[in-house]
Amino acid sequence: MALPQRDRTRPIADSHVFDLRLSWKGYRINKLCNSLSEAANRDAYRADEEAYMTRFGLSDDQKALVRRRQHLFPAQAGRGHRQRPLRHGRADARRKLRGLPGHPQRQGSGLTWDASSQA
Amino acid sequence: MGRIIAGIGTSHVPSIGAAYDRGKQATPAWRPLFDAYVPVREWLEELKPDVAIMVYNDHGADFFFDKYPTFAVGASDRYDIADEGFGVRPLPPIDGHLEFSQHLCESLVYDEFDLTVCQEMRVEHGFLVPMHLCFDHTPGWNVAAVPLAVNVLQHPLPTARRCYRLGQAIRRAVESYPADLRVVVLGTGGMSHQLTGPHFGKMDKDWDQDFLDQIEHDPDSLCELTHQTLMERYGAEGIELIMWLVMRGALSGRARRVHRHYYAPMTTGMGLITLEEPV
Repeated sequence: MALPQRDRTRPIADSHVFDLRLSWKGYRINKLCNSLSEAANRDAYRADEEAYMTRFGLSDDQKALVRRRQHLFPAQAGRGHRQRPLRHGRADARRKLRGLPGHPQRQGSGLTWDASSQA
Repeated sequence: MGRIIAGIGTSHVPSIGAAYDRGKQATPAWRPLFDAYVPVREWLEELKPDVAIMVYNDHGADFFFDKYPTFAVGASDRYDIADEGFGVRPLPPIDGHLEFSQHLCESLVYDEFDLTVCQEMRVEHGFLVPMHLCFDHTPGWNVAAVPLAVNVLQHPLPTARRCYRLGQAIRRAVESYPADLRVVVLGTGGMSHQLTGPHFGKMDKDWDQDFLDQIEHDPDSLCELTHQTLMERYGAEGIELIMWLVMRGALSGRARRVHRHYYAPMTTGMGLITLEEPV
């Protein structure tokens, strides 16, 4: 067995590490955010945000996060642990969404999401 | 024959790119950062590298989690600038070095690094920020480049030791290149930062300074660290410092440090170190 690289009993900075479990959970919302690297997709998103989210198969909870411009896409409570999505909904999705009309610039504390407040 | 002449470890924080594009190099907040690279550019002008191997990570600009390679190397004569969500930055496309790239890919794979070889690749801030900090681009870039992307986003990541060994294999590849070629290797990312959870913005200046010490004098001590320890020191995102170990592995034990700088005014420790091989 290879040397373990992580100790899941010791969370990093009271948060979550973006691994395959989280990546799978956040996959659709990450895929939507990632698509916004294309100008044509940004136009489509602007034109009909709801349809765009449906096209990417977002769950109702995920859609609500996008509507709230909750750019760090906080975890949803569930079965005793939190789904923390996209770490790269973190910077990258956030930056992509930020460039769109109707998306407030979230700076400073606005970027800070306290997991405990969302559970 | 090819020769590694220098190595650079540098942060690639995206806000550096935004500040650069908006001409903020001389503002009080940014001046200490940008000024530190002036002597680096002058030094590189004198060293005249032919090729820069840029070890960086793609943040979803060209690769996505549908297929995310652990190590990916460019094998093209040109790399376009990626759109990271705001449109394409006003930078000229990157000149590749096709023949050397192809040699590098062959050498690394036969050296048992199972790479993803990319004949098209668009590069983003992880690559571009170090490029425009270290090299001139008016009107074109004054160096050719080879992008080498490392997965530091989606665990499982390559180990610190693996990154160092990749650097050693890069050195063997360069030294087996049949033509004269002067190569500089850049390891990018970090330093400490934590971008998720209640401790957003947490940095650790002491551990960052320690990393700068160790990467120069005792990289082996860093190779022994697990991802857990690295993240406890540098933050979940600060683990991307393992890319500096690729650079260090490509340099010899005789390389001497030329520049060192550290600045941490915002949410990420911004570090810089340069190493030069003896002639």
